[in-house]
Parts: sequence; C-alpha cells; structure tokens
Amino acid sequence: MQYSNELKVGAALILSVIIFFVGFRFFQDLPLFQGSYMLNATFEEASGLGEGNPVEMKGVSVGTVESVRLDQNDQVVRVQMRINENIRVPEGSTVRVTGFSGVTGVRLVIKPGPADNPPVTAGATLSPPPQGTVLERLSDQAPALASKADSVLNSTNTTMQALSDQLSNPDSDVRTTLQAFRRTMEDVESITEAEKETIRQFLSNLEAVSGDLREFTGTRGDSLSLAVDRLNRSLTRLDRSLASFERSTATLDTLTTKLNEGEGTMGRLINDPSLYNRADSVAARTNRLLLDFQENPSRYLEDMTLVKVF
Amino acid sequence: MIRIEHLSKGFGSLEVLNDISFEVRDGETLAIIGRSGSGKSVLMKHMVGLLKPDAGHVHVDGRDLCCAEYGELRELRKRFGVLFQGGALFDSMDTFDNIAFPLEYFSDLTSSEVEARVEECLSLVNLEGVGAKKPSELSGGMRKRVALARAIALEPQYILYDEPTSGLDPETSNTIDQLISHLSDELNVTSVVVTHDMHSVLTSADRVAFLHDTNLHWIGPVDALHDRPDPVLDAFVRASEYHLGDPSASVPLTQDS
Amino acid sequence: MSSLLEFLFSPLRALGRYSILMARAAASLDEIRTYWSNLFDQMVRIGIDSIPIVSLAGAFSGAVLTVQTSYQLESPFIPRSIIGSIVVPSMMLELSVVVMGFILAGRVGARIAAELGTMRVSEQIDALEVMGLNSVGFLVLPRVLAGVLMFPVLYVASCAIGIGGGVAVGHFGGFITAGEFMDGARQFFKPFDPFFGLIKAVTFGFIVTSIACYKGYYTTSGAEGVGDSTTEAAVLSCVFILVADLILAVTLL
Repeated sequence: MQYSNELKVGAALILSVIIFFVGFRFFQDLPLFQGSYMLNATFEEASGLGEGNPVEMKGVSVGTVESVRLDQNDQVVRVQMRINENIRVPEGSTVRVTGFSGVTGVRLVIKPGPADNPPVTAGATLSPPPQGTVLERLSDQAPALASKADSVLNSTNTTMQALSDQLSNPDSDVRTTLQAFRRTMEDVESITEAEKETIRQFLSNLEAVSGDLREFTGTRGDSLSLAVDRLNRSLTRLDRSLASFERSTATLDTLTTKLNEGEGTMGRLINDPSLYNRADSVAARTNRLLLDFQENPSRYLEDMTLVKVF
Repeated sequence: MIRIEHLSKGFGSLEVLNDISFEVRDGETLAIIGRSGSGKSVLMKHMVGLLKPDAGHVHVDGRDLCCAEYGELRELRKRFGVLFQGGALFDSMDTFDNIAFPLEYFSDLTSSEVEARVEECLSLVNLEGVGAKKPSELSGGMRKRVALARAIALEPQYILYDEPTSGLDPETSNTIDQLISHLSDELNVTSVVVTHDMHSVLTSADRVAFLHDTNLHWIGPVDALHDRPDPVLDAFVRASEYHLGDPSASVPLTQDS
Repeated sequence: MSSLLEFLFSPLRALGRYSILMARAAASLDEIRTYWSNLFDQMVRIGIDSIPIVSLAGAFSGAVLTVQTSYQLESPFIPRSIIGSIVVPSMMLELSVVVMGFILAGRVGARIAAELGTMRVSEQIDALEVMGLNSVGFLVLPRVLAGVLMFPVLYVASCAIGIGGGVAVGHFGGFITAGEFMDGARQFFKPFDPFFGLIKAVTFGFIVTSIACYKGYYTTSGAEGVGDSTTEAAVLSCVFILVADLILAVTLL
C-alpha cells in the first residue's frame, strides 16, 4: 500500500512529539502520565542545587527541582520544586539541601512533619529546619566542657598525688601521716564539695551535648566530621588526664594493700568509715561522670581512645 | 505587442547588447538571427523579464517589465509560452505531468479536462502516446516537441522559441518549423524565434532581426533578404544556407562577440 | 587594487544574495498553500528518508560514547552511574545533533544543491519562472521549511536511538547496567538540555537547507558548476554548523 506523503510526515511528527514528551518526563524522573504540583522553599545557601535535581522524602524520590533563583533583593535563594501529585507533604515539613555536587549530586530532602497534619497546598512554601545553633553550641562548648572536665580531674589528680606521697613515706610518724592524710582527705572533700556544682553542670551539659549530637547527626551529616574532630581532640585531652588519674588510683591501691596488711593503727585507718566513704564518693561521682560519657558518645564514636581506657 | 527601447545589457566587463530598439507586432513571427554568443538568447530572456536590462525598457502590451512588481511580472508571464534550448522539461516528472503542470497551477480545469488538453497538445506536436515516459527516455527532438506542447498548453498569446531546431536532424527540424508556422497561422500567436538556422527563418518567419557585434544590425521582412541588403548579413545568410540543417552549422564562437 | 576590493567584497555580496534569496522565500510564505504538495514531498525526502541513516549514526555515536566514557572513568572511586550522567547530556546537547547535521549536510544539502543546480543550468528554473510560478516559493521555501520542520524530528530519532544504543552497549557489554545508566542520567538531567538540542536541530536544519538552496539556485556554468555547488553546499553547511554550534552554546548555555 502506498502511503501519502502527508500521512508519513504526520506520523513522523506525532511520533517524535510523543518520544520527546515521554523521554523528557522519564529523564526528569516524573511519572510518565501523572500530574504534579509546585512547592516553594527559600534558602540562605543553595550549595550547588540546580534544575532537575531530585527531591526526596525519607529517601524516596518524590519530585524534581523546577527552578533555582537568586533573589538579589532579599539575598536569598528561592527554589521551586515539582512534587508528584500522589505525594502528600504534611504541614510542618521542613526541607533542606544535602549532598555534594560531583559525588552524589545535590538533592532536596523534605523532612515530613507529623503524619496526621493536613497536607500542604500547592504553591506553599516549606521552611528549612532551624539550623546553625546545634553546630555552634557543640563546636563552641566542646572545648570548654573538655577543659572543665580536665580541670576537675586535674585537681583530683593532684590531691590523690599528694595523698599517695604522704602515705608512701614509710619513715614518717604514723600520727603525723594520718593527720596529714586526714587533712588531705578534708581537702579532697572540700574540693569535691566545691566542684560539686561544676560537675553537675558538666553532666547536664554533657547530656545536652549528647542530645544535640544525636539530633545533629540526623540533620547535618556533612558537618559532623568537623565536630567529631573537635570533640575527639577534647576527649584525647580528657584521656590524658584520666590516664594520670589511673596512675594515681593504682598508687592508692598499693597503698591500701599495704594498709590492709599493716599494724593496728593502719587497721583503724581502714575502719574509719568517714574517710572511706569520702574517698568512695569521690570515686563514685567521677565514675558516674565517666560512665555517662562513655555511654552516650560511644553510639557515634565507637573507635575512640576513650573507650579503650574503660 | 512587445516593444524594446534602447536596451543595453552586459555581464561584468562583457558587453552583450548595446542600445537595441525594435518591436514585435501582434500576430507576426519575428526571427532573431546572429552568430552564437551574439546575445540572441539574452535578448529573448529580457522579453519575459528573466533578465533585467542595464539600460532601456521592455514593454509588453504597454507594461514596462523593468519596473513591474514581481506579482505583476508573473501575471504578464502567463501570456507567454517559452520553448527553451534544451527543452527544460522537469526531469522528476513524466511527459504527461510536464504538460499538465502549468494547467494544474494556472487553470480551473478538472482532471479529466486537463487530461484531454494534454492529449490535444501532444497531438499538435505529433507525439501521441508518450505521456508515461520520463524526459530522460525521450530523444532530443521529442523533448523539444514535448516542451513545445507544454509551452502551448495554456494557449499563450506569445511564444518564444530559443534555438528550436539546433541539434536536430533535418527532418525533425522541418517538423518543428512547420509546427511554428502552424501555431502562428492557426492559433494566431505572436512568435519570436531565436535561431541561426536560415532554413527555419525562411520557412516560418515574417520578419528578421539580425544581431551583430552587440548591435541590432538589420531588421526587415524576410523577403528582403533576397535583395542582399547588407554585406555582413549576406555573409551570415550564405554561410548558414550552405550548411542547411546540419548541426555543425553553428558558427564557432568568435573573439569579437 | 580592484581585485583586492573584489576579494573583500565577494563574501559580502554572497551574504547579500543569500539574504535576499531567504527574504524572497519568506515573502512567498503566504503562497505556501499553492506549494503544499511540494512541502510534504520535501518533508518526506529530507526528513522521513533520512531517518535510517540518522538513526544508524545516532546509535553508533551513543554506543561509542558509552564505551569510551566507561573506559576513561575506570576508577573505584567514581560511581558507574556517572557514565549515564555523561553520555545522556552529551548526546542531547551535542553529539547526536551535530553528527546528524554533518550527515545531513552531505545527504540533504548536497542533494538539494545538485537538484537545484541542475534545474538552473538546464533552464528548468527559468521555465518555472516564465510559466508565472514563483521559483523561490516553489523550490526554495518548501526545502528550507521542510529542513526546519523535519530536523527536530530527526534529532528526536537520533537522540532516542543514540541513548538506546548507549544503554544497550553498556548493559550487554557489561560496562554499566541499564538501571545504573538511567539513574545517572536522571541525577544530572537538566530540563533545558533537550530543548537546547531542538533549538540546535532547527538551526542546523535552516543552515543546511538554506545554504544548499542558495548554492543550487545560483549555480552557473553547466555540469562543472553543479559539481562545485554541490561540494560547496556540503562544505559550507558543515562549517556553518560548527560556527552556529559555538554561537548557540555561548549564548544559550
């Protein structure tokens, strides 16, 4: 059968329009014959986001970036995204830019709000999550916290050192020694008493940091390494202090053994509950501190030297 | 009526026509003769506005072709049928389509009427039954006759022939000459025949214009040729007659042209 | 001195004649209904009849590009899907349309120039004119219009088959699976890319057909002239395709 030229041309035109349309939708990662709607977002920084980048929600592609525009007046980046029609974005959802261009590609990630919230309407503007504070608090406070912990442990250390010096002197008069020891213990107590507030503050701070850190890991993965680095440095310092503390504890241990084996006066020393309790409570408090420290960061920082110490 | 006034034309530094003036009267057959390269075809192309004169005017039925709008020019051209030297048949179409072509574009005939008209034109040139052949399958003489059939299809007022008999054997030349006379007498068309075939001139023309050395050297009735009015013309006529009907009759291109 | 002036002016004169021819073609747009069948005839000859060769070229350029890109990116640190994100935009933006342009400069451009050139030297164009037809409207306009309309169709065919060829060779050659390829392609897909390819196709369609028509329409001096026109049409089309390619890339990307 002889087809007329008009028919051939018409068929070719229609066919190419169809191929173009289908191919376009395919590469744009849109469902081929499904509608879509637009959402907006405003960012301080686009981080290389461009047209056609994917939009994801809980790791599932739900649309594409339609346009990225720099608003010169407000000095912000206005982003328009095309979301597949069947995807409901609950109110209270936040959106942010992740990924490095060149490696995994930049993408928009929508963190959905509570599921029972009504869905946002087309053309709505999603806001970025509150950001910046976590990082700043963590990076600013980590060294301060570490040095605080450092100073607490240092003073503990010095005290213990002095105690051990006194007790390990065999030539001294036991009374003098004991009195000196008692004085030392009083010192320890007073120090502990004085530092009680600091330690409590430290612990609550640490708790806040751990909480922030947990949230932070979820939100700003790419900045984590920086923070971890800083934290790691602080903890290495802490580690050094703890090592000397350990040495002191070991000395105390040998001393205690000697005391256990020694004469009646030494026995009295051991039986003195207030002394023991005081020493014990210092150790227990320090222990609690360290246990908490060990417990919380270990979720993220498994290979840290801190863990090996305990 | 075609009137040519002080027409001059050159290509680059080569002057081809210089201050030519004459007219073609309605109903007559005018032969334009001259050596090859003397500008006969160039003159003919001016008559249908294919070339624009450097100076002077060409009037067709009182309308100046030189200053006419393209649309007006096209309307004027529809009064013409032109037989080109090589036939100028459209080689993508068969013979029938070639002749039907102007009819399809410029007449209101139905397809059966077109068919009838094509057959009529083919029979006028004694070529019945070649409609399905492609131009490349036709001989030179047949091609010229098909081209003539196409030229007369729209019943033009003027027919211009560019070397209608050159390159043809004497017998076919005679047929063409008779056709020219026939069309002129029967259909009362005005004809301009560009040729250097004196036999053709003597059998079909009423008047003769002789181009020589870029000028219109002589113009007059064909009978006056016997009186040897001009030595240059006389030399041309004698030389041609000697080689009557022979394709090599073409006088070789000379340096002075 | 005058020959030097002539040398300097001749490109300007050519540009002028070309522009006038195109203006005449544009002016005969209102007559296009008269030449409707001519237009469709040319659309078939320029467009439909070119689909096989353009598809072949597209398939091979896509396949070669995929193989060579995977060869160049052979590194454990680069995800293999990157091959897809290089091949697809390259095909859409440049390779399919320029390769197609070159092929059609030869196939379509040379054919138009030879056809019109022969019609010119055998006085067929004059014959059209003295019949009262507008030879530019009859011959030039349908060809240029067919080029402008059908090159995008050919681009779509070349591009689709080219990408298909890339996927097929990558998948069955064991370089990259079709899934990875498409993931990479989607990751870096810019919606403007295929439209830019279409713009290029339209431009190249105009360049190839209009230059060929110009060269053919103004052919002089017999068979040799037709040969010259044909060669010049193909060569000039290729040159101007490259120039237009650069200009478009600079202005639109």
